[in-house]
Amino acid sequence: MKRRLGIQLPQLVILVFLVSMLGLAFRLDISLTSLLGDALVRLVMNGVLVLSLVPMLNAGIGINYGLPVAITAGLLGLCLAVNFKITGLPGFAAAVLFAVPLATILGYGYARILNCVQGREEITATFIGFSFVPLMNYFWAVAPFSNPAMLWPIGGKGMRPTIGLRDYFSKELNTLWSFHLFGITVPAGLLLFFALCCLAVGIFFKTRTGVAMIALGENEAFAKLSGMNISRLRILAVILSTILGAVGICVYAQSYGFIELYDAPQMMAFPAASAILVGGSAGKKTTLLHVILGTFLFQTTYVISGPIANALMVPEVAEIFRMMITNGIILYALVHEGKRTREKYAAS
Amino acid sequence: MLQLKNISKRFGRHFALHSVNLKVERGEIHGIAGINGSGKSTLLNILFGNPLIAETGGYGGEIILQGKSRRIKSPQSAIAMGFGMVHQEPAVVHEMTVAENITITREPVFPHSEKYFGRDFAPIDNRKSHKKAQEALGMFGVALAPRCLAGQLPLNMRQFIEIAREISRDDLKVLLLDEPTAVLNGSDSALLLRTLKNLARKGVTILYVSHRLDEFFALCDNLTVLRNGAVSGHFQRDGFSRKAITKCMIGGSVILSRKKANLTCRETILSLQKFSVSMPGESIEDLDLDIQKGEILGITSLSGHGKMAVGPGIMGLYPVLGKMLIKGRQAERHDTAAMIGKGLFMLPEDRRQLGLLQDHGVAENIVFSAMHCAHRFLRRFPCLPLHFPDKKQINRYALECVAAFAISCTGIAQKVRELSGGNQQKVCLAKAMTMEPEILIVNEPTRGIDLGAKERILDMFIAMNTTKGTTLVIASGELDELRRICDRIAVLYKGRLFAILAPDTAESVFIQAMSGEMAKV
Repeated sequence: MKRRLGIQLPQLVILVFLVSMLGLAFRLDISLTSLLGDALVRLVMNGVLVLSLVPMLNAGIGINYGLPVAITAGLLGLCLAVNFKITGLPGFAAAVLFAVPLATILGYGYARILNCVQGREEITATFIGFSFVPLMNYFWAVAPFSNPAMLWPIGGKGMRPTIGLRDYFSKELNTLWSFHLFGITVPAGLLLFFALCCLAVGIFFKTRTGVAMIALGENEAFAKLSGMNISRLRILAVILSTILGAVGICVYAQSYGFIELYDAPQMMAFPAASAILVGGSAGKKTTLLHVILGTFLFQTTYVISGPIANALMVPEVAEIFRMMITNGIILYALVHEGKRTREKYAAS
Repeated sequence: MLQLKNISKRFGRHFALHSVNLKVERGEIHGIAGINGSGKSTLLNILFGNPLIAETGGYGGEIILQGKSRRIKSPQSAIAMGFGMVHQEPAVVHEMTVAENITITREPVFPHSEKYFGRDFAPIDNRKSHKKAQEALGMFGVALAPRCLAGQLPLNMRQFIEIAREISRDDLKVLLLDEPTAVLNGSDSALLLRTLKNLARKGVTILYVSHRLDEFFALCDNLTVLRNGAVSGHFQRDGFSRKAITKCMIGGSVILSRKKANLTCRETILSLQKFSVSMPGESIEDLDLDIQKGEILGITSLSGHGKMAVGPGIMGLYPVLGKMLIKGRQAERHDTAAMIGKGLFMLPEDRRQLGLLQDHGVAENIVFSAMHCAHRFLRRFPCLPLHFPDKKQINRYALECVAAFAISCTGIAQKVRELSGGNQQKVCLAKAMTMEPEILIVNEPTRGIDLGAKERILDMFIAMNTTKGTTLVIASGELDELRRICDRIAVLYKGRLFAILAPDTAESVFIQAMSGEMAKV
């Protein structure tokens, strides 16, 4: 039962760290309720991005280090929505609607490249991400957008690195249906959106195609012999991941209040990858529980450590501890997985 | 020479071995018999210091080698004491050449270089290394190019590489063999047995684990039988009796399956014309073969002569040349999905890697192909184009299969990884039966399966053929089994059809045909 819940040594360590941080925050008179409210927002803010890794992980392609590709599609959707000056929730919806077809096209191209390098997808994806970002930098510099709020104030050409969303749809989801409970602000609309995304992914992996994808992830040779169209399944997985990633950055941007262009997407894949590994997914099959648990643990340590560090006058210490523990856990997860795989083969 | 005293091993609460005592003299070939799960492999793993043993809490009892009590902690320590091991599934490095695999850790270096650079950094003399490898392989008359990459060779050749690696060691005192013939066919096994006898004459002690009785009769001086982790009998050479040993192994006797051959000529269902398959290590060239509707066709050959390539070639897993007519018509596409659509299905020889989803349950494995290729066991989501597996229907069907095939498992949700080889093969068969193929191609159906389960699986083939009229193509090196159940047996030699023989043809004729020594029929 314990294994089912996904709570093992790494999760336990980070939980202990979290609880001790909470205790410390309590002693330092930092408002726990606001911390928890923040933690909930950050869970969803990053959760969809983390969720976007699942289709590729389950299809055996590995962690989507090429997340910048998906993020670019999302950013294009966001920029289009801002360019047409659509505000409020419709603005957010428009951004998502613009982003999905773009993500499908980009995802297809991305998938075709990944299909050429079977077995080395993760490192290839990393470099696809790295090389895609400069390409997009050029695009952002010459993009024919017309809303002056997005362009350089001087000269009026090329996109700004940071576009404020305050006049458009900043925090629209965060405040939707949010209510107060014991002093904690519960962003119900945001949580609901995340739940719907999770549900969609969950349902997909219960369908015939989803089951085939998991089988492909477990044993490719078997899938081939069973007459499944492997390259089609892999392309589908990558497209799904890219679409989810694009939706993810839309959620992230509206929550953050800014669209960040140029080099900002470059490193976005790593926190997401860390979160899913912290959640305990280092094997073949990744569950929604890994996503939620991992994102929550990873992001909550982040939320709590900031204020504590400020209060203790040594701002570096909490950050150092946080990086040590989260990165240590990622390393542990990878090492532990290697060991478990060996044991599994030895036993069979 | 080697004495084991009260060896015990526990995995959790379960005793895999329970106070096993054994005494082996120098130059003796000692057989260890037992069905799957009787503890044979565990015993060898202890002797070879497999890390799995240490990780799961070590072993109990005492191992005495040449009068000294020894504790074996790791493979390194076992090797240092003079143990060598040949695994059931060859442990060779696929990325290295044949010669590199054989001389690994004992590579010959250029003269004097060792003095200057030390053992670790002395440059390897490839010519000497190739010569050494060829000598080792020559001991059992296998010709392999030393430069060939091991990963490109078929399973049995990789097994020969592993054996050559062990027997070419100068410091070898005790050789452990864990069902080395599981991946070899009859004539390859004979080669191996001859080599082992020579080795024993040179003073090497051999512990030979198997469940093939014939090999014990041909090879062993003494025999110990294990059942449920304990010694259930000792036999000496002059006291060997098939009946007594079998009884000791399974506590009962086995009835051999047999089918009467039917040689009436029927319509051709699948015709191969000038069919070539390029499968590494096991290719076919210009094969002309007609498969008749409703027959059981056996395909046999020595290893590397093409019997294993027929199925994968037909299913489109490897590049092919030539014509393939299904019911007189050439298929438009030649890939696995199209072939499955035409009513063909194949069970590969490598069950673990290709035949099953190890981490999925029994039920999921049984219905998998039917669900994905034939769109069965599905339920449509109302108003959306989404198809979900129909759990109820699947479970009902899987329960029927488990009963019909006598698959012993804790339940239909048990992972197939945890099943024994025989039960895994039954799951494969159930999967194939669910597809209701017109033609079923099976590669090495009984490899690595113990006596009792073997016969039950052969019975299932016969039943499938007689009741459902399924055409079966069975590629196997187990001539004895083919002769019992087939209608016709095709013998391949160097990738071409050499002869088609009736199953009641004398065994010597088969052997001649397989080695290409008979006048062509």
